[in-house]
Amino acid sequence: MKSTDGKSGLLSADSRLQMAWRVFRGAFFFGRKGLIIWDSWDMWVMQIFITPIAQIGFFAFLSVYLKYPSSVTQFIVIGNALQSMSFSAVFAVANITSQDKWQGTLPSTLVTPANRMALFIGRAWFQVLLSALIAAAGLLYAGTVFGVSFAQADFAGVALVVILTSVAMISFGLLISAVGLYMRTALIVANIFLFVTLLLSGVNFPVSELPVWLQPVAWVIPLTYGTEAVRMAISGASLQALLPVLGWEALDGLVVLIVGFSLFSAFESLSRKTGRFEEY
Amino acid sequence: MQKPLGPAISVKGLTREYVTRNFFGGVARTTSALSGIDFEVANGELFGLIGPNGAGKTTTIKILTTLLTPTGGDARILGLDVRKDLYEIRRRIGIVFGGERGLYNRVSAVDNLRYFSDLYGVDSSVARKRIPELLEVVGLSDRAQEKVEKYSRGMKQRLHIAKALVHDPELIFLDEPTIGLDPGGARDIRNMVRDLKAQGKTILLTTHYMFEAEELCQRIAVISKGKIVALDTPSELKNMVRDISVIELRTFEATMDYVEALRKLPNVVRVVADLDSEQQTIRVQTPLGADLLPKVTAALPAGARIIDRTIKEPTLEDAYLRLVEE
Repeated sequence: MKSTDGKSGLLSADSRLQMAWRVFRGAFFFGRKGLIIWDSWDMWVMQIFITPIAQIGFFAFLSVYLKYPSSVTQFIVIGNALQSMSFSAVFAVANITSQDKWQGTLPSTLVTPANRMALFIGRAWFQVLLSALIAAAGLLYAGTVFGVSFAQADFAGVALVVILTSVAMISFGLLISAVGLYMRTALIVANIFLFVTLLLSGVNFPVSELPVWLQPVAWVIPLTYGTEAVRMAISGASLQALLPVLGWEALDGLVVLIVGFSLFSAFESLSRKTGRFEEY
Repeated sequence: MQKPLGPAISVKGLTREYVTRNFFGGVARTTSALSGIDFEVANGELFGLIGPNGAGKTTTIKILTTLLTPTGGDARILGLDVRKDLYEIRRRIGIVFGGERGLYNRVSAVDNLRYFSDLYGVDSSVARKRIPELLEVVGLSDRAQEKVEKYSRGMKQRLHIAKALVHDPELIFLDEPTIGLDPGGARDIRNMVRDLKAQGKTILLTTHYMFEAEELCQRIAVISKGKIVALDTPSELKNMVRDISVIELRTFEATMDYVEALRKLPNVVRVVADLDSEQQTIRVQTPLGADLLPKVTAALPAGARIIDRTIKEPTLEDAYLRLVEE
């Protein structure tokens, strides 16, 4: 039952959950059009079809040039197919707060009573779809161009991994975007993070090959679970076998999201104290 | 929602300092943007805040709209504390920022308004009715589906106003709403402000244009270097400079040298000149009135001439200049 405050038509202040839903829904649809600067059909086509093949191609040919066995090349191809979603899931999402700063819309947004969690998550959620499509295109190239066999694959498992990894990586994008509320831009951090994922997330070599002290850091990044799970699913692991890895990935994504939102709230409060909202 | 029994805005001893820190986190410099200002705005009043750049107008608006925390003093909006009652204040105020920024340019006016109505929690059925009405009021109905990046500056400013009204706020902050607009666009905005006042909205307006403040505001606070140096009705503020008259000259080929010569004349309080146009306008404030005219004419350099001269009553701008320069 909706209740509104008289003439203003505002949902009553005690309908907080209902208001949060309005904010999430509004931000979900608006975020894509108003804040994701890559939102046009040509950019979509380039991201979905060109980004993954360029990235996979680079690492696959490097592997061939170095005369690695085909099993290694296939390992690299699958890892990069999934990692190619990072540009959309992390970079575009991290850029949302910067976009608000550049357009001068941050003060207008933060002066609203909008539920911050709903706003924070809602604006990025559409990127889940784009990121999943990029990874799906990457896996399609892996099978059709780079010779990865999907004969044993559990396609439901692969789809689940792709979607969950996309969601979890967007949590990381949101965490970085929270940093952008206080820093002049979050893009530098996002750029660094993209290379960190290439290094640490089991994209081009197993995490076990990393120095021991770096391995725990690798498991902080949701993509690390994703690359392991997608390889398992392609080689025929059942959904049941995938569940522990996916469970850890979901938990990791949730923790990252909570940390990101806490940072967003803390930086909003700090920016009110220091007056740094409009620096860009 | 109940109208507050007290004033719509109440500001007491409000201060705001900005601290610049050095590399090691120590305080390198402290700048005072507001040094203990006091004022009240009554319900339904149109109140002006004027002052030079950097005087503290925007800092005041940011504090009152919950975007900035004060470092001292007390500020209440509709009876609510700007430090604690952020949520309720934000539901009940609207803000119009001057300039072209502050809108989502890649989407349409309708999308901008729909988004902000979602953020304010306006009921969907109300928003569906209100958004076209607002677009009609601000004269954007026929361009409502166009991307905002194609709008002129005046259209963007009108959309800013619609955006601030999407949740039907009781109190509206207008931060230099006519800045950079052509005369027609600025007049449209001023008419909208009058309409809002007629609807019973409380409005706090900041502006650089004195005639605008004089035309619209019931009371005006003049802020300079973080302090309120005068607060009264426009006519009472003008009374502060009743001891002077203004000789307004329209000249041809007058230069800065002539302005400097006028400034050196005895009994000249102040000279304000606009030398950018083909015909220059020079305003000389003096207690002598027409008696100063022979000296004004005598100071004219060869080649320049006076096209027109008028003795005028001092305006709000004359009062303002005296107040901020004292």
